[in-house]
Amino acid sequence: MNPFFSAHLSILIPLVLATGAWLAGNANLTDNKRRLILRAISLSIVFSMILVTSFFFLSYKEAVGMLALNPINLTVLGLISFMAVILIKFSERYIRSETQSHQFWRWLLLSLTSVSVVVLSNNLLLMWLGWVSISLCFHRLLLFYPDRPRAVLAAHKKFILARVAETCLLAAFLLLYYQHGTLQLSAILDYYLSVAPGHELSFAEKAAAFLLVQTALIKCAQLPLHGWLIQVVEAPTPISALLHAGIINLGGFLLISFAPLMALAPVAQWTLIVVAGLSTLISALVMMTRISLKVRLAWSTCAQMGLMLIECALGLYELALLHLLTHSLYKAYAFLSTGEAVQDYSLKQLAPQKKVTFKTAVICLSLGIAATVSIPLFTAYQGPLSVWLLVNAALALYLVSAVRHGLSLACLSAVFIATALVGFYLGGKALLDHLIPELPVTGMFAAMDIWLIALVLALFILTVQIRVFPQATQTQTLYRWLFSGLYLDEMMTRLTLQLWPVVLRPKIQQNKTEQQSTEESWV
Amino acid sequence: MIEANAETINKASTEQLSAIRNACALIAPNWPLDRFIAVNALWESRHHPIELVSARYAALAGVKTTLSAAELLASLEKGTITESSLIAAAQAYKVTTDIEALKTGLKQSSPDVWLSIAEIADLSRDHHKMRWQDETIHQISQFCGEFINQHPDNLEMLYSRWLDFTTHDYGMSLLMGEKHLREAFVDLPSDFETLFAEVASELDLGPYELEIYAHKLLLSINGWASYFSWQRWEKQLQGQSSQYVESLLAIRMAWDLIVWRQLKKKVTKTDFQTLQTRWSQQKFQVNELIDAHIEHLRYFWVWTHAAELEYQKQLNQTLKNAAQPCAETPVLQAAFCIDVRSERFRRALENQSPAIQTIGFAGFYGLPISYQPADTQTVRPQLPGLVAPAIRVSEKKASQDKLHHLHTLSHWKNWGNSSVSAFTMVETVGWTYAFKLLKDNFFRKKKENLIDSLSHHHDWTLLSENKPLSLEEKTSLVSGVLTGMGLTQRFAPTVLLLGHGSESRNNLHASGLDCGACGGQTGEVNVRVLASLLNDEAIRQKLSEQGINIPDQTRFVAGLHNTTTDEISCFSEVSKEIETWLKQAAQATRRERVATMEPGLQQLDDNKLEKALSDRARDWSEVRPEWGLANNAAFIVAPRDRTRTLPLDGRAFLHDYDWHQDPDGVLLEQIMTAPMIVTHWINMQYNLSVADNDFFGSGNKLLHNVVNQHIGVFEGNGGDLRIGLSYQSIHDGNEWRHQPLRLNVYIAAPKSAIEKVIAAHETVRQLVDNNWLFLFCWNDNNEIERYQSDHWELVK
Repeated sequence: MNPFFSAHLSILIPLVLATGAWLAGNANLTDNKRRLILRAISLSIVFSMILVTSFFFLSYKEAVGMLALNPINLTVLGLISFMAVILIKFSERYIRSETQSHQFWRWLLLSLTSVSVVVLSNNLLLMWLGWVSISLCFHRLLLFYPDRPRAVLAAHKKFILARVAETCLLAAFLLLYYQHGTLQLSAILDYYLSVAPGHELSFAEKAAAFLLVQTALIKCAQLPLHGWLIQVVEAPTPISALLHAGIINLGGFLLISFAPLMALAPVAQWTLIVVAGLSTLISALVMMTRISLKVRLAWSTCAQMGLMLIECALGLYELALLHLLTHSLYKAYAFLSTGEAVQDYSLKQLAPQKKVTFKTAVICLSLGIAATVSIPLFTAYQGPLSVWLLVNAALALYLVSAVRHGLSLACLSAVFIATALVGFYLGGKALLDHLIPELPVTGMFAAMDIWLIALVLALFILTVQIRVFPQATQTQTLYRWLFSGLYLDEMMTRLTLQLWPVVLRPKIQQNKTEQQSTEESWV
Repeated sequence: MIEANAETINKASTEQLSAIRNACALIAPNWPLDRFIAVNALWESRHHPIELVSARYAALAGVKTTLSAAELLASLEKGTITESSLIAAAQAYKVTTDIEALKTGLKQSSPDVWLSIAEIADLSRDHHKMRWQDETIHQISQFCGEFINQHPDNLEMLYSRWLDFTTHDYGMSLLMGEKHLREAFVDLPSDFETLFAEVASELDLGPYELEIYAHKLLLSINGWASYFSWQRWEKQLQGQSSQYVESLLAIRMAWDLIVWRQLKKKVTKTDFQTLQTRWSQQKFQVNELIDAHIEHLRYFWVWTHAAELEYQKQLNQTLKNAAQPCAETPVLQAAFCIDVRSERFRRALENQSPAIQTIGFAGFYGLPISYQPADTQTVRPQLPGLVAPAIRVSEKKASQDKLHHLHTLSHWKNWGNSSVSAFTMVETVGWTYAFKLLKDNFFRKKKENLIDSLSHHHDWTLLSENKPLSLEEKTSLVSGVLTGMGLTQRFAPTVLLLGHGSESRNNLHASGLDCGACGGQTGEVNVRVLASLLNDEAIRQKLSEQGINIPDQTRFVAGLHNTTTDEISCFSEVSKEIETWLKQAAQATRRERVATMEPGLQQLDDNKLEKALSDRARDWSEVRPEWGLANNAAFIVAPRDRTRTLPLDGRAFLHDYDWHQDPDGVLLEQIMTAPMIVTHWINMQYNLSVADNDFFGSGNKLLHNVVNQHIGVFEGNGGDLRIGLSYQSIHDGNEWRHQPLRLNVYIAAPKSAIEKVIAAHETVRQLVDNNWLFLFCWNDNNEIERYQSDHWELVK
């Protein structure tokens, strides 16, 4: 099979989505017609995806051209197709009676089209155009209710940051073009794969890597530029789901795609691990202080994206890809099912969970540390220990609380589940490992690893402090800071208002103008 | 200047405190989402005529209490208002009867709205800056949620904790771009009574203006005020007093004071001078302003009343058409909740055979119970919000399997949501959510309310103050219920006791669609308990000593009416014949109900329709699972014989009552002081949510963001907590599904008996005299008279 053909066959997916946007975005459709169109689109997506995948496996070789198909972007494309089908089905009823529903469909499908173009493109310019197009289309979705001042403010904030990110990305791409004289992504990456490890990059390449990291950090809403992500829950639920399960991942996708370059750029990696590391720690803690569900989920996304970027910085790209996939699925479900929150409340009432005590926390931490230390002792593993510390601490928490609740056969079944979890973890990692080119990984107890171990320990200890000693003065101060989000977003809000003010009109006046306009229409 | 004030003022005067108390007393409670029952948001203003309250809300918060001018004018074209009804309404309100003049009356521009200090300050605020009003509300709202999370049992500390929080907070100062904002909070008094006095003196408010101002501020954060009012209500049911609403008011008032002082401190004095001028102007004009709104709204009430008169005219016609009483000895008796959704089903069921008799009674069946699933700590009230539960029921044997499953699930969720383990959860089992997404989108299954799923039992223990109820107590409980239902003789072989509940998924307001009389839960527990009591041989023995002879072959069967699918499920076996009747009745009901739903459903045949509705109930993306009690308009208290077969369109609450059996009027008194109030609450919740969904309703469901898992919702990112019904519950995208009409209560009882209840109960008197509802006497000769300010008027 011709690899060129199989790569360019993948254009089916953006084509189907764009056609869908054109058809379903028609304002004059009846509900029935639109439903038929949407079903047809869903089917076409599934069909195209099957076709693209089978051709890919038949052609073996990685395909090259304007579009490229490799195991990584095929996987991500699969995720996007899956999300598209899920969101179309969900929104079909959810959004049906909205007067502007055609706008929703048009911009939702165009956003997805742009995402798929970015994922498939093998040309830097095309990729950049797709990247710009995503945020422009998504901007229209964020303004689905244009009369909500807070929605508008958040959209403006996002708009400004998106432009900054695009500028960084464009600069990075131009630098790479300047360096390599080609816009072809695969050619550039092949070059970096072919050089010896530890190869010294030119200044332009270092700058490009640094700019790529900046782009990823902004796109993944890392602190302190995270405010928009928290505030865009002013848009209907499926839009949040799309954002948290699709669009926000692109930062990670970008870094995974440019992994061969990133592996050679320690400054970029360090920037990434410091910013993303602190973001993860802070966001995970701030999440504990949030009172409303969707905002809580948004903070959790900040933290999860942070971890994904950390994994990129460590060179654990297969893990980052795993995280990207599983987090998308989890977060999409979490958003779409926010209506079940009261059920979760009942569950908590019916089966209350015991509070963490100091003693159990110490046991968990010791178990986690012991398990982590035993890894290099008993296996040949040489990679970073910090990620394992995080996993082991979580597993220890699971085990200890299961034992405390005396769930039947608690120890046995909990151990079984914990083992299964490790199995899933390793399995997922191994499965995706094949997709990623061989790249250097940060070694055990390297500076990055130590920094991260410190962060994981800080996360654990601060969480325990908040849970176990809520009344202590230090905890109260800490809590207050976390509750305030460390005052990181206030200045960004003010800057946004300076650059692009929202005409925030008092509600009472608004009512009046409304009345006046009805009066006028009656005259 | 400020310091001097602080020294001279010690505590608020008694007049000032009572002004504050009065204002706080005006906020009606709003129940949290896990027991979301309907309530009249203007309930605590019932001592004033509705028109006055409406003007006051318009003047203080720009809130609408009637349909808009455009909607009212459209009603005339649609025919829900006719010229004759409009003229009659105009006469009732003593205004001109000229139609054109009435139309012009609606089109006048609305008078000004009284503004808070923050709102006035916002008028001149640079649009490159955040607005005071929005941000203060946002801050208070976020703080309240957090405070309740941290101190659920110590709500009295609200103000002091807020002061502590805000004196340490840099966020507002940064966000608003105001220097020294934080220091300004340090000057605030540490107790709220002093704060009230300080505000009164600094803003120069007399007790009357202070009350108005306090009310105004509470309305600006009405959602949380209503939440704390609910906490106050619960305390009151236990006989305790509280000052939650006062604390909240203090916070809001402190913010206004801060804004005032910030502007005062500014170097450029123009903003402060504008503020001062506007403030003193509106302060002295408050009465004129309310009067202006009364004038303005008068026409709106005329038009609203015209629609009510039009409905009354039709209903009177319907009622005067003699119904066909059921003469035969019944083969089946079925008791339903008074809920308007029962009306259609009852009519359909009775149409199956003349030997079927249905009874309408409050869906909690008069059992003052709360339900505690065995072996758990959860206690859930199963009765109207007006009363506190006296008896706790639990199933005799806990379902250990289910409980174990719940514990495992809870443990798992707790682990997955914790800040440390969430990462690992995602990386290990995140992929399983792909299956969940597929399952919930494409392979839907029925998903039951967790607490309800534990209640599927036949044997119950009843505890009162932790002691089991004695046989005598049980007997007197059920004899009260049977008497209330008017079911003390002529028992059919099968008596169905039906509760009702809705079925929907992914719905934060699901409990609002369940039985309001059962405290926003399904009626399952109540009917199960009642059936088990009534089938008990020993109790029947005792009952017969009191003259209630239940034949041996009579069996009480509990069941549930699913209002989303109109399916009835019986919890023990019934005969084939009854099964068929119920099935056919369900079909007929669905057929009738589908006319109110999207056109696509109407073309389906019976089987497909049944499937479509059950699919809808299980669809997690459905935001309009059913119309609930939308379009309710009347409460009819009469024997069913008189309303049997009458087409009431699912708009009437039906309560069985035979005055011949109630010589002392005891039952009538109960009906008029409990079910009538509950129906009035439901009616007003729907009316007000339609009139001003921004204020009385919870807005767009697509944006709902649940607070503390159950307290309520935000619309979007934050802002005030929201009360009432969502836009999607009452609007289908094209038009309102509820026509706002005040409740029309028709009682088949002697006038003197009704008067006696009115005289004895201030609440009832207030509701009737202040036009919160309309009261009619429907006598045995089919004449209908309306009660109006101490006299009866024959309706022609």
